[in-house]
Amino acid sequence: MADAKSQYILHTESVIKQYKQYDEVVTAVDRADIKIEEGEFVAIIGPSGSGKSTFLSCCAGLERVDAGHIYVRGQDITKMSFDELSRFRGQNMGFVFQRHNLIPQFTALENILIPTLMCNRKDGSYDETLRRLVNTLNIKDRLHHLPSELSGGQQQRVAIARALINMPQILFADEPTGNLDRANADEVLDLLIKTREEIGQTLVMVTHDMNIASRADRIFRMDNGILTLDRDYLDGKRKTITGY
Amino acid sequence: MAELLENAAAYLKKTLRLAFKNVISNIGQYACFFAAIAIIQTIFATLTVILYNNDRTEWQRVTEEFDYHIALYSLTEDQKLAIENGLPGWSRTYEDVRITEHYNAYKARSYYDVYIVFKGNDFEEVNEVYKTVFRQRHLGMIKDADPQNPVEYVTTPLMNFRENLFVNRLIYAASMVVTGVLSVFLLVILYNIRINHYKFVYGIYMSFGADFKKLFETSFWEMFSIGIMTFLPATLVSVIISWVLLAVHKIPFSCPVWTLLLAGLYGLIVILVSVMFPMRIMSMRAPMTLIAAEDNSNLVVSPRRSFRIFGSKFPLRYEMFSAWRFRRYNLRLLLSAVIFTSLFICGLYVAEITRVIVAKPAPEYELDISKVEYQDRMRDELYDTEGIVHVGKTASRDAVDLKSHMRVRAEYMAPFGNLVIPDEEGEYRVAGDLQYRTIDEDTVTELSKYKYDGDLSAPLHDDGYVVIADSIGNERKFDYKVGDKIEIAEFVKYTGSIDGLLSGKALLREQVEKGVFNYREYTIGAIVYDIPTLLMPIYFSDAAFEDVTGNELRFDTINVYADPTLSPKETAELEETLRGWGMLYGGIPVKNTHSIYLARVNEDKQYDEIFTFVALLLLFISPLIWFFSQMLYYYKREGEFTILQSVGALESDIKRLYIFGGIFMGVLSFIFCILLGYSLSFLLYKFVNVFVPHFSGLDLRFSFYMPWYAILVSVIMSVSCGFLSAFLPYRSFMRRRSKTLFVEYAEVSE
Repeated sequence: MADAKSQYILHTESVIKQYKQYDEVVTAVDRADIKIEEGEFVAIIGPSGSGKSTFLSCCAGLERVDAGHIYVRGQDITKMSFDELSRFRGQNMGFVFQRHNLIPQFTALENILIPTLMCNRKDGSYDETLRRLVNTLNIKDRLHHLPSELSGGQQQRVAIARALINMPQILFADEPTGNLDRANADEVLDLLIKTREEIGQTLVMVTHDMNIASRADRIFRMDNGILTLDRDYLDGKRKTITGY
Repeated sequence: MAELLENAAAYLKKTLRLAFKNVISNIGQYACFFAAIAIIQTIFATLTVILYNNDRTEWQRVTEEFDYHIALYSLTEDQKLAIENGLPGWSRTYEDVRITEHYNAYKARSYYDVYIVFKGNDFEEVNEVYKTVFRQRHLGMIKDADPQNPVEYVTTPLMNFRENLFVNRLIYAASMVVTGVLSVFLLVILYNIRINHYKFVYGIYMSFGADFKKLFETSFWEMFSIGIMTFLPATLVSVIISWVLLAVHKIPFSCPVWTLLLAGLYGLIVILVSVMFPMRIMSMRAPMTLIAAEDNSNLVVSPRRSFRIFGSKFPLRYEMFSAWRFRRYNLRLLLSAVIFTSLFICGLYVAEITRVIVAKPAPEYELDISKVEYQDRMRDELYDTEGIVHVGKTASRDAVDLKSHMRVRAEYMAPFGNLVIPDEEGEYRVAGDLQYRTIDEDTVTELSKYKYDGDLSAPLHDDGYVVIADSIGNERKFDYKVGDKIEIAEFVKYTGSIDGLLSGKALLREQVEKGVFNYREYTIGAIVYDIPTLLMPIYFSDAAFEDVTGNELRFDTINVYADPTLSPKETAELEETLRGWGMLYGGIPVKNTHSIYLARVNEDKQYDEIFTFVALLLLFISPLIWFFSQMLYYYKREGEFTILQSVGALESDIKRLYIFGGIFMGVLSFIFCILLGYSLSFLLYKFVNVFVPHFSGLDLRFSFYMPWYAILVSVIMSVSCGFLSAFLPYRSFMRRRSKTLFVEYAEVSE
């Protein structure tokens, strides 16, 4: 069983996440199962409030689940202590938030380097990655500016650089283009896909945008907390690939 | 090993450099930590330096007061010779011997008081001589020299000084623990305020791999670097304060470096503990919940319904609802800030208590007259002796020894006056923690120093009158008035067997159930308040005392109060005079309580001044909490105010929001300050008056004390902090806003 799990980079089993609002219990994620292989690009779509962001946060260990298991690289992160989870997250996962969530008092460069500091990376060990990311994301001339001095697209690119600086095996992105115009959104998505291809990364993305989702290998749909594979899309894609 | 040290040095260099850089570049953010840590270090250093000097001062007083290690009283000629001759075959174990002779007219022979200084260079040597040579061998020989005459001896603090030091250390340790707990409490409050406002940043850190160790390391080294920067100024202030406190009492000052380093170490421990707990809790939170708290939403408690906030009274009603929305934050802030002003009041109360203890007159000598007949001329002769200011003879019996009790009608019980209930109908209650005492003119003089109602000398004129205290165990039990009647039980016999294992109230209940008593009724002539009542004293005339005790009156002790200004030499001379005088009555034992010496030592220790100083420092903590918390709170609300302005609110409306917020907090802090100050002082009063005497057996009592000036200072501090901490952020908001507008305008102009 452990072997079966370890062949997937991300594997969830009956994940349940509930919130208590006064006397009412809201089930944000209801027995969600997903299996994602290494290097895959998976998109999760669904209406607002369907629980897709919550599910993504749970998969990234940013929120605790109420039931179920989440295996990342074969390790059950729901069983990890808080500290183990933090360390594991720092070493294996990256996260791009919907709102860039940059720390306002830090410059772009300082924001990008936060994960290296948290993971005790030695000085200089990340220089090459940084150089490459800065060039790819085209933020070289904005590195010493505060987030408030950057445009929305630039802020999101800094957030992507921050998520990638430790070269995580799996990148979670929660509507990374949600606050951007079409041109910027396409640019950011190109960057994510390009980086993913360069380092063989797994990308799990929550999005509203079908144009963006259509570039994924697989699409999952979240509705009222229930996660299902989008068969229509999968069939369509097979048709395209196999020439039906 | 060398590599390890090298790595450690490199780690320290890197982390400290980062911490210093971070703290200095964000000094505004850390300003309150600078102040808090400086205050904590000042308290620790002052306590350490003062208490180190106390040891030295006490030693100085001991050597002034005593020039001998042990005194043997009322020895016979043969016993005296046994000391003078020493142990056969042993070299002399004492340096010096001083002998005074008193002639006992009743026995027609001389007795001798012998004062011995043992050989020895230090405590250890002196105690060794005392234990192994004197007590084990020499003392037996002295007893054997005249077996008919028991040997009475006392050792002086000169020899027991190590025990005194232990008590000093204990007080020091207790002070440091209390101060340490308060310091941790303060830093945790401040750190939690900081964390509350920077949750988002910590959430981001944790999202990218920060665990507890990382969070703790970062925070600890930041606080450590602040501690390093404040250490010198804080210790300098402490040294100056300590020097001033000692100089006022003309006590020489000394301050070895180790005392300051020790204080620094305590500060470090406090920082370590204070940072550890909030960071541990933080590390156990899900990062997403922290990131979600980027705005003030984490401080908001949902009202669960919407209010019509944009009514005609916009700013007022709006801010009232804001106060409600942020009620959890407001309550926490009020409690944590006002508690320190309350501790200031409590600190002054403790200072007052220490002053009362030092100033409380105590007999310098206790003359044991249980074996001789008391004569009135004894009192006159004692009053005629130079240096004696007051004399009081006592005869007392505990009610429990007489199987007696006091019966009280239920209507005379005070609320919560928990006494034994003897009968089914509930007509009576009984109390057994009583002490029956006699009263004379001297006792009346003593009692008149307390607050009282009625005529204290009533029992002197009429045997049917008594003087009683208002409480038992320093807790008010009765609702008597002068002229009311009490009934004292005279035990006759038991109608059944009493369980020998019973004690206290259970025993009293059994005695009442199985005993036959005659009840004697007395009228209350006076009620004395604030008198210590570990056992409640009831003062009877001599005849009434004989009636209730069933015995012929015999006085136990004559308490002799000496002039407190007497020098050590004069008190020693007075003691010799009293011993000589006692011999005239067949050898009345004289016990020297050294109360004048003890009062002087306690006065030198200046606990009252230290407590006052610490209380003042605690008062200054309150503004730190107010301003730190409110500045951050309003900073985060600026977005809300900007939105309000964008939908039509005027600048004057925004200003009024701040003012209403300030007034609201000012009013609440006034109420909290009074309530919390009163409650904490009352709890402290109960603690020192009820718990301490109950568990220590000390017969002490202090009045309830809430000094008006302390309350006034606390209220002014709380109200002004409550208001200003809301109003001042408005000015900085407006300053920032005017700059932004100017920039926007400039951009448009271009």
